[in-house]
Amino acid sequence: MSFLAGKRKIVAALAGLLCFMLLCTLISKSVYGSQLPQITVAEAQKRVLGRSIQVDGAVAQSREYAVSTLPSIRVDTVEVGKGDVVEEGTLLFSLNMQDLKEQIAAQELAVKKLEVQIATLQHNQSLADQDAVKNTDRLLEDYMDAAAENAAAVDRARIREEEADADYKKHMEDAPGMTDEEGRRQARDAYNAWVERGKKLQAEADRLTRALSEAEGQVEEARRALEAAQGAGGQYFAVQRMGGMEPEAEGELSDGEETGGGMEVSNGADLPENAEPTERVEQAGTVGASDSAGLTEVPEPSEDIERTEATEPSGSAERTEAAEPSGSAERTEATEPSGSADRTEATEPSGSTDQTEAAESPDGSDQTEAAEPSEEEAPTESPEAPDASDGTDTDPEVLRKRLQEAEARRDALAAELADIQDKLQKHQADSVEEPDFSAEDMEQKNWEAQGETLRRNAESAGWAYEDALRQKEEALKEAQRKVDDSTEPQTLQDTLALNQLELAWLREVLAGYRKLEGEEGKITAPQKGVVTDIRVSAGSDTPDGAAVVYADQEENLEFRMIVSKEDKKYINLGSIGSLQIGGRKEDCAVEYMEQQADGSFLTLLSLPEGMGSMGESGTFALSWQSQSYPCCVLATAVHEENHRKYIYVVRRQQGILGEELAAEKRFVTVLEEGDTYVALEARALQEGEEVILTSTKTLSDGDIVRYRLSGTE
Amino acid sequence: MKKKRNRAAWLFLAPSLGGVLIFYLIPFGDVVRRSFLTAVTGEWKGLDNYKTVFQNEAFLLAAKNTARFAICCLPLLIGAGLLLAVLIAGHRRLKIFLSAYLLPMAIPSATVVLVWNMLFDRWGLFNGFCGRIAALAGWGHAFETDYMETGAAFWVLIVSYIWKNLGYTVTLWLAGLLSVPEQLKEAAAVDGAGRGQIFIKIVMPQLLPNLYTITVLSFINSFKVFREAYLVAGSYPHESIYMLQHLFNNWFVDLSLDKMAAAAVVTGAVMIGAILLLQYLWERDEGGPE
Amino acid sequence: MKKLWISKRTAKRIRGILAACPLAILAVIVCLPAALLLSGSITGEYEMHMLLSPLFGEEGSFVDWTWIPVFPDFSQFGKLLFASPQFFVLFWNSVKMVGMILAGQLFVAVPAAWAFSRYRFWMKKTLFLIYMILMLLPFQVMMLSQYLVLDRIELLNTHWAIILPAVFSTFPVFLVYRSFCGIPESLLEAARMDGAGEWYIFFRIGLPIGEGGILSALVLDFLECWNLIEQPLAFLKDKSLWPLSLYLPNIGIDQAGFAMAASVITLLPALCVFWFGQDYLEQGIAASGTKG
Repeated sequence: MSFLAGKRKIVAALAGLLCFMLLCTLISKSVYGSQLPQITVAEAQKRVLGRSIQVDGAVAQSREYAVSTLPSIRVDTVEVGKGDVVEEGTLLFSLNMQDLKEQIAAQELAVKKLEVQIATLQHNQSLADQDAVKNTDRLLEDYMDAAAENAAAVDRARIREEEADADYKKHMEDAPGMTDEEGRRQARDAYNAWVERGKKLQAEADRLTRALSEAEGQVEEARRALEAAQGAGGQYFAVQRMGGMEPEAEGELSDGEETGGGMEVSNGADLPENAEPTERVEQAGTVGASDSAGLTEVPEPSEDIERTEATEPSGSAERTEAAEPSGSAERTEATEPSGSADRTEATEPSGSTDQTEAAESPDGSDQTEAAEPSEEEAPTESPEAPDASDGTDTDPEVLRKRLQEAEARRDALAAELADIQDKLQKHQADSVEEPDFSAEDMEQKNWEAQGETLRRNAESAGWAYEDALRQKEEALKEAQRKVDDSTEPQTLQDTLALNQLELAWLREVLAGYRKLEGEEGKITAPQKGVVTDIRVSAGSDTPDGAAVVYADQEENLEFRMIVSKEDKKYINLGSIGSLQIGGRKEDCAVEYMEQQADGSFLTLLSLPEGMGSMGESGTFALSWQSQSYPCCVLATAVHEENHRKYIYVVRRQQGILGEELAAEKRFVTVLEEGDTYVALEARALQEGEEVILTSTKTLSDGDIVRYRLSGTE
Repeated sequence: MKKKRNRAAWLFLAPSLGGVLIFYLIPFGDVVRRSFLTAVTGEWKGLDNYKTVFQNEAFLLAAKNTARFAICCLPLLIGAGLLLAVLIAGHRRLKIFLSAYLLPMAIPSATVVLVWNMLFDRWGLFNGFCGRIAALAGWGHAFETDYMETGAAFWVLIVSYIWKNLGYTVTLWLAGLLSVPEQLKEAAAVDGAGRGQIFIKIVMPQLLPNLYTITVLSFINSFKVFREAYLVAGSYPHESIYMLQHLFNNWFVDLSLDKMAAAAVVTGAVMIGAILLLQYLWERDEGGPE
Repeated sequence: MKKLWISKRTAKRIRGILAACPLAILAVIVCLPAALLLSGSITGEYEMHMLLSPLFGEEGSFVDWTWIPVFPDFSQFGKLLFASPQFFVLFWNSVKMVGMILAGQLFVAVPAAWAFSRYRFWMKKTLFLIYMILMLLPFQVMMLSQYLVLDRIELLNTHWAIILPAVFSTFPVFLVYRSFCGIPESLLEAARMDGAGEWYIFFRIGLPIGEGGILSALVLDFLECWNLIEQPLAFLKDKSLWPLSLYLPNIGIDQAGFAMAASVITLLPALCVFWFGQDYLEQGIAASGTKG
């Protein structure tokens, strides 16, 4: 291609580069391969681990004999030393006779002393026995007494308590009767009602009395008028009467006007208004009866009003007609000034009474009612009025009539009053008492107080009972204790026994000394052997224990060795291994093992006949096999780091160069170690995995490795 | 004749078409199909996947970032390339610099990453160097950002992109510049046009086809920035450089194939739109593929 | 007049120098990262660690950079080139894949571009539009579906899973198309007149003229494929099939020196290609730039 021509250099460079790369590829491959660690591997095997243990030891004596004698005797001479062979009867050491003699003397003295002591004790003993018996009897008596006394106290307390309880109960059952709330309320209501009624009646009576007195007054007045009229001349009146009778109310008025100047209104007005009062009173009376309290006052003011009304306009008329200046004047005087006053009084008190007697609101209205009908009636009455109004004042007939009317009224009133008073009396007679529950209450309170007291009594009686019980118990306990104490074992007897024992022993020792004396203080070996230890020295005292220790030379030997803690696993009591001493090799069993302070074991084997002499060293060899383990590897494959064991396992992985081998570090637990093989836990290696045994370079986790023929190991 | 020619054309096209069909169109068809199904079971889901995708925050972020990147880097690169090309075009001798600019293109992405780490780390060379200079001026603390962990990562990517593609862009522009016939320029100069005018009125229009090529190529290359971003920051980089490819990758790993497919179709559609636009713009000027 | 003449030239010169300044500065800045890489690749491990320690959490100091390390150390290269076969496995993977992709694209995309640019046929516009759209869609969009398709054809976990989709990518079609568009129709007509068959026209006329465009497309594609990351991650399960572009992301920053060395080496082929194709880049675009 043409374009290549111009670029020869570059093409050449590129080609050169590629060649270079090729070269490097080859080089790098070999270099790389050569620097890889080469390994040998093996798979895990199922094996039995074997171990051979060898322990060195020596022959030692198994039996030692001690030669001892009585202690604390001075030694004169020591004839043998350690390692000396002795025969039966060989003198070992001899004692100082002087010393021995002294010891004997001392011992005899001790014996005698003790004998005396014992005699004394025996005598004391019998005395003490007698006393003891007496004491015990006395204490028993006390106990019985205490029991009886206390029982009585307890009984008493109990009875008292029961009584108190009974009293209390009885009392509680015996409650005074008391009216309950409802009853009380009813009683009170009844009483109040009665009182109310009484009040009403009274008021009514009062009103009636007042009315009566007024009526009386009116009667008086009428009588006086009549008398006056009668006295003054009858004809005049008769004429007047005739003239005045015809017209109507208005006519009256006008006639009144005509007839008597200044009389008109009053005439017309007078009578109907005088008539009114009756009506009024009656009405008021009826009204009043319905509501005595309210209206007792009312009629009054209305009466007053009427009266004033009646009297005001008629004031002058009456004056003139009545012609009793005194009377009417009185009246007018009485009434006129009082008219307004009355009126005001009337209005005011009524008003005020209305207000004070607010209980019944319609007072005012009543009053107005009263006032109105009165006013209304006034005109209606007026037609009737003419009968009386025409020239009335001076007409005796009229006056008489009036008098009669007044009297009638008064009588009526009186009757009413009497009636009311009757009622009142009846009422009084029929008195309802004011319910007084205070007595009841008082009684109740007393009862309760009593009850409380009784309860307290019962309570304290109960406590007293409990106290009594407790006291009894305590007293008994104490007495019992005293009795027990008194029967404690006697020490005297023990002391005596002891002393006697001691005496026996002392005598023995003495005998021993004597024997030694007999032998002249010479101690000899009882049998053949070799001295292993001498624990006496010339001039010192004999020790308490062995003075000389010796052992068999030929017989009763044993093989002694120390088994380390690790080896202990393999050597146990009874393990049989081969023991080699000198030139001889025999199978022996382990007879004894004892753990030492540092964890190792002192192990003893008994020697077979004739094998080994004291002090000879030998070796005990044991080969031991474990159970079969499924996963065992060569010990060289296992390494340790920080007290943890690990192995390297071959792992196949894919790398850039294809399949490559990597060393995988794997921590394992070692179950058991043999000599060449080590058993690992079963899951340490999978089926087919290879453990790296050796490597040309130190491995670390993840290193790429390659195989090597195991022949060149 | 035409028939023969046409047949020849098809023959020429055949191998490419065949391969494209197998390795690109069929997979894309599969993707489109998958965009309507659920990820694992294959049930028809209609437009659900599209809805999910458009509401997916990651997708929006990635799309935004990718668009942002393209919008930022393309003008920068094209403009800088043009500028440099103009500078070089004036003087033949200066072409040696071009080789220098082309060098980064040859450097493998993995290497670039290595250099990045050294340069743009919090304690990297860039900070060190600039910081020392800035310290002289008193702005010592301006250069203390860890670029890859902050929004500055975006600009690092842009710098990397421009660095890599500058050479080629300049080359392309240069080729275009140099191919403008001298006569045209001289004629215009004779006519009294100034250098600037010549440039704008005569040279630029000639360069339009180049612009098209350069734009397309640069656009393609802008996607390749993903490689560097991935090697430096992994699958979940700082959010300012989280691009569409990150998203696709992560969805692939998560086996959210339905979302991936829908997003792919959307991306494809956007590309189609972009290409059509470009085509349209250029076809007006030149005649496009005949 | 003399004055003017001189000043014009000098003016140009001055303008040239003026233009050169910012360009130069920019060039330096642009190349900084590459320089960083280079110097880092020969920095020893210890020094690298010291320099980069602020990145590992030591607050208070900034990453410092000595452009020429105190103790230049080529061991990283040594390690990379001579002791990491993985690198080379991936390298050859990449080479293989990219080579095949480019070859495939030549055979597939170029004729297609020719067809699009020179012929009119039914549905051309629509097809072209489809091609454009496919070009723009990011990989993730069709990731799953492509995965399933590949799985169905049982190409997953092989290199073909990467190669085939890339071969049929529509990007080169677009690039080459533009350059083909620049060929005057008259030429072709003339050839046809002369009795040339379509194939002949394509081969003998189209290709040579469009050479530049094709090569530029190949260069761009090379760069793209050399840097593929998403597709291999998605479609290739075996690490041994990975391309080189996945090697670097697997190196952590604690092995920064090694990563840098690897980057430099990875860079080299791309640089070569670039160096090779720089002219063509321009050429190809130039052709497309003139017409249509």
